[in-house]
Amino acid sequence: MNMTPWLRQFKIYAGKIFRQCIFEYKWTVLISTFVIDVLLLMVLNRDKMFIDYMDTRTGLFAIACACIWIGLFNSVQSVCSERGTVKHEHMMSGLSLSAYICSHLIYELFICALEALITELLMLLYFKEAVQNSIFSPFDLYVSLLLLTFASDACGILISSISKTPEMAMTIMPFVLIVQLIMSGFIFELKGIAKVISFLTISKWGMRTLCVCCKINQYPPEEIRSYEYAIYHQNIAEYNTGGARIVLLWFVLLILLAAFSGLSVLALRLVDKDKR
Amino acid sequence: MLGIRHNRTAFFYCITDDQFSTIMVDQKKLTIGNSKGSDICLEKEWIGNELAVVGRSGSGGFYFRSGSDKLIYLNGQYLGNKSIPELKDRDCISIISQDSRNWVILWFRSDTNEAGTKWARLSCSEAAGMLPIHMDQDNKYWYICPQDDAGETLLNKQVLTDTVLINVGTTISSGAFRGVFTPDYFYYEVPMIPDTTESPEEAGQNISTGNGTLSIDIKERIVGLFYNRRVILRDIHIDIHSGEMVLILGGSGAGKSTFMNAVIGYEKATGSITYNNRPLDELRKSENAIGFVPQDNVVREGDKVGNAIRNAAQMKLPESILANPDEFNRRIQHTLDIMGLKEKEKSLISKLSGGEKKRVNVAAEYIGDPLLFFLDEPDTGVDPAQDEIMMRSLRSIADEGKIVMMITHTPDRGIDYYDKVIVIAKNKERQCGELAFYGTKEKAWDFFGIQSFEEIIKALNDESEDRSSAYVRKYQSLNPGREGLQ
Repeated sequence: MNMTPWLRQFKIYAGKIFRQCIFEYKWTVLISTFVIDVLLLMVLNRDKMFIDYMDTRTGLFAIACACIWIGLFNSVQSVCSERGTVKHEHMMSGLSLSAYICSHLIYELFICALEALITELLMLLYFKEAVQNSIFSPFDLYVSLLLLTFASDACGILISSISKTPEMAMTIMPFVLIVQLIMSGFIFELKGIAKVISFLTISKWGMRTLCVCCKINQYPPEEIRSYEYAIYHQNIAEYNTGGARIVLLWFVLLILLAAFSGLSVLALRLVDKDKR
Repeated sequence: MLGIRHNRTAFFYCITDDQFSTIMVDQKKLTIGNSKGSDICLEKEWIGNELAVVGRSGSGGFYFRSGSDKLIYLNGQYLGNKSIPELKDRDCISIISQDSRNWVILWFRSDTNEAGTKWARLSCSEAAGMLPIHMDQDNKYWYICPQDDAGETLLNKQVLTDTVLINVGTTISSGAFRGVFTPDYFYYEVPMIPDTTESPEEAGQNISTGNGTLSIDIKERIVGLFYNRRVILRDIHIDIHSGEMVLILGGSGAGKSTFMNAVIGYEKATGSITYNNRPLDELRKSENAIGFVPQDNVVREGDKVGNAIRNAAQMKLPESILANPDEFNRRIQHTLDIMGLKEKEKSLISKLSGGEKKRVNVAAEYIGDPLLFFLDEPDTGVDPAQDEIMMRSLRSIADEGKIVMMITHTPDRGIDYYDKVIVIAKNKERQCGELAFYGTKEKAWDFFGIQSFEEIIKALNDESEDRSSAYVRKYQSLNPGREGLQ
């Protein structure tokens, strides 16, 4: 038997992906992250973010959406753009699909770590005064942003593994995004099957993680419109910071991350059946 | 091709870890060393200025005299610093450094009747299929054992009676095979084509039948579902032997790529494909025994040439080679060299020309040293000069005892390199691809009445006369068997 060990394959492919990042200037995604974050911060209400409950909640939702967008975009074309090569290497060289996906994940983790850092630094600089008066931990916020972006990134890898072409991936992605938006539980109060689906979305858990990490319940609401009462009272319980709640939410994001990664490997097994 | 044909009556075949060369002994004294002043220069640091002296003695024989402190073995026997006054035909001299890490093998030939000798090499695992050798339980050492049911086996020119450990320089004569072992390979003489008595095809077959046979039995390749279901390829039953380079020809949409993909297992077809009675699917999955260069580029363009080849080697080569950095790097350099990519080692693949990209694809597959090498239009976008380099490389691969099968749209460019031709044509009556010819290229020209492969393609594409169906019928009526028309 001449099958290359898993760990060696992982190293080979991780090295390949990191080299491609340099040679093909893929690191420029960091610039787009910076631009998205700046644009987002420009529209957030600087005077009320981390001061008023509803504005903070809206702001954190926008940041969560930005993280999901950034994460998905990082990786949505990463696998499908080289699907022919993956098929060839899987069939002819015994490529381990799990090693291949893991090598993508390690690279994406590196990129997401930088992106989360950019997002957090911009947030802390922009809302400097409000943050100084708040009591949340910047480290907790960093971990939350990282896990949210990374889980979305893994979701992008899953979309990329399912798609046969980059065009197909770019068609699927908006559907995933819209599901993340409407099923987050932020815009509408969800009931029935919609509520069940919402438990599978990154946005719901990401939003909760950000709100809990920023201890959103510490900010008193200035004004709550009548239609916001129900959701406000529901959120008060959901965003409770008691115990190790933040760790529990990080764990949920990690489970989503692992699930997307595992499903990516399974989906990629179909690569052998690809036709010319 | 490893060997070169010579008319001289005495010569050495010199094997080192990265070089195979032929040394003619046509003078009284020839010095072997690593200096430019040496008559025979082997560019290895450990060899020193004067490794040995060889030449013609006064009696008309040939002698060998050591000129250094290296360990000298003659046919496996340690000689110390002694000279060999009279070399005999097929004597094997192994010169090994004091630390046993470096070696040179000199294989002596003096028989004028067999002066034209071609060489090939097989990895020890491949050689195990045709020689009575096996690996020990720890998978570290190879042993040779006597056979009861076969003819006599000579080990270092002595009759083999017990199981013996194989070392660098161990020589074997077993059946048709005479050769010598290096740490990774068995180098063996292949009887070369005598000028008048035997045709190239006959000689080619003699060489190959002992090594391996690719048996292709494709019943049907079906695509589509329900009402759209149709057969696109059917009834191809042929044998291809090691050492053969086979051209696959056919009209547009006849099923050439489908045929190749079905053989490799890229596309599922009913029937069976075996190599030496082992399913090809199994060989592909377990031993990286198949190299395949598809139509589209399959190397990542955002990487450098050297990195891509190195990674391919890390994925395909056995642990024994990966653990030896010198051998590993030698292989990389050798592959870059024969594919004409040495200058481009540090270039980004995306910046290369179409032809260069194709050669990177070929190199990434070749580095794995596959037994069976399939190429689907490797010459697309390649200019004639580059194509010639690639064709010569592919011929060398076939000469190493491998099977090379290739589809090309410019078949006349490499016309001299092919041994056999497979022609797939669309049978209009059945609306699927079928075998319209298999056999030697000369027989193909007779069969089609055309002396050019490109003209054959034109004839197959001729819609007006439906000649492709006629060729299918004609070939089937000849009942040529699995070997095709010889």
